[in-house]
Amino acid sequence: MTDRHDSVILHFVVRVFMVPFIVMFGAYVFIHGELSPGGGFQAGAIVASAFVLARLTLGTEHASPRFPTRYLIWLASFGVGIYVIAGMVPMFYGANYLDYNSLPTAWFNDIAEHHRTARAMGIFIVEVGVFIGVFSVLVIMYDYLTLRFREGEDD
Amino acid sequence: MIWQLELALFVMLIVVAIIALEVDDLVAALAALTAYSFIAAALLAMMSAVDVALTEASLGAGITGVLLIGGISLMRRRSVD
Repeated sequence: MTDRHDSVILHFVVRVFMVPFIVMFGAYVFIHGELSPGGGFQAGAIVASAFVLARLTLGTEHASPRFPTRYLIWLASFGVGIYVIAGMVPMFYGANYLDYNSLPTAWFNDIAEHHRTARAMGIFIVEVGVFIGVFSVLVIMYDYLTLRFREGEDD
Repeated sequence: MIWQLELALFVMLIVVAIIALEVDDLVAALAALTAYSFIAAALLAMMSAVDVALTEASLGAGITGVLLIGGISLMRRRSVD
């Protein structure tokens, strides 16, 4: 639980310039992760650094009403669950764990009218899971780190 | 690959690491540590390991610096050693 700083310039720069552009850059790294360097892990770390920056300057109770820690724990479990389900579904079709070639993605290609191989689709699903998991766990790490030290000071 | 630039980056890497170990102000040490991570990321990008360089720049220079600033803001700023 970090306190809120007093500087108006700091609040303006962080809220208007830094956090939106860091989140935008994280989304770019995430979406282009298949073709260029990047991917779920790096994008999750970048977006988590934006959220931690907001908590550090604006104060935890002002910056975290939409992503409080108790929701982020569910979100981290959800990210790991996406990864595990994407690995388990091929096992029901007779393939190995995380064998994306046998993922049933024909229905998605019919809906989107866009051909995408089952392997690329499986990698993308795993990237989504890794992104959500890394982002949530890094913000949870910051929250619990500051919470424990603040409680130790109050004693 | 330009070997003069690589040599300069390696020398800067060692100098910045020694600064991060020796300085008393913890925020200055953290800034030197972030610069160390960024120079290491530049060296990795010069070795055409761009994916590793992006990980080093986002984790070493990004989230580690922010987390350590959060840690420093909860304690005294100067080290006593």
